[in-house]
Amino acid sequence: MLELSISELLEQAAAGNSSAWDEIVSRYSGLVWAIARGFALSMADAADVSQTTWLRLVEHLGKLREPEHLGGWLATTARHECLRTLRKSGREVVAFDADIDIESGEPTPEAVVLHDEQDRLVWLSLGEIPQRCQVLLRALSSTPAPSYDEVSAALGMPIGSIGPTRARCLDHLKKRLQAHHVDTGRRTREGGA
Amino acid sequence: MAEPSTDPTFATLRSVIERADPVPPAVVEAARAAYTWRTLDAELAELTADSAMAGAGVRSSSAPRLLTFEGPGVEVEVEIAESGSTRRLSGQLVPIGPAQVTVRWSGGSREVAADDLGRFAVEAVPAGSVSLLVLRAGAAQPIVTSWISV
Repeated sequence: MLELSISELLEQAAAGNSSAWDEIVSRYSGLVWAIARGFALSMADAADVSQTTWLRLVEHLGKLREPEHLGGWLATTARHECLRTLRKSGREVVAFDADIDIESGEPTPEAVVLHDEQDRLVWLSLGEIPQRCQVLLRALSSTPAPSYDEVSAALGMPIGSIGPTRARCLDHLKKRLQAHHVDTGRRTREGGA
Repeated sequence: MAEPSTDPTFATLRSVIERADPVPPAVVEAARAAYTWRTLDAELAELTADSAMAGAGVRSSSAPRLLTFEGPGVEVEVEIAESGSTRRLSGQLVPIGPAQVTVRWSGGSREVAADDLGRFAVEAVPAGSVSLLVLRAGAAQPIVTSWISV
């Protein structure tokens, strides 16, 4: 099904083709997950946000105004659902638009799968940069690589700001890495390309 | 596509994220299974108000959450009370009138009746994604409310 456009997949899914639906899920589940986790939701909350996002798409099958922008629609839906989840549990995204580093606690349990000390510090540093940067860098890291349109929807930020913001966010990350004495520039490990 | 980043820090970060926080297979499986909730003949009532999103600042998480869904010719108001990992839903249909209400969640569903005044309540709904399917007495088509995480 790789040759089908996203509009064609949506059309087929709306007509009852569950393989088309599965293909849509495999293209975008990484992006939706990256957004939910970028907003610092727990595994359980991120799973709920992901599921609600996909169920929203099910109810909107055949009704999307711009089916070719499905990725942006999913990213926007996931972002709204993240904010809703944070608000209902009495949490807020602290200064989402501000360049404020985050006081990180202990590394989260995910870090246990990282045996390499440098990797653990990279993971820790990611949790210490501004929330907006976490959403941005996680979204950009998702597979398959998202479009700027989709990243812009994940952040609720104009497309033109994504490039400069990415540069600023990488600077934030590099500062945190320096503080942890990690030098990623010299490493030769494969970069997950 | 976004231009591929050649920044070695980004490449390292991407590799770490892929290993530390991949999409859990159960999340992908649930997303695939979401398709089974496709309803062909129902009108959609969209979420139009959510007390969780009203006002700025931190609110008490113990207060019940109020949601309003609006569809063609009908409004569904739902109050959600949290109790550990389950939720109590109580609702009101406007205009009032009896209906069959099906509460749907990712793993199942439960039917209750709305009384003559359009009131209904459902206990012990698992936390997670929830939607209501409402078939009003005499109506040709059911209404489904937009899915929401509760």
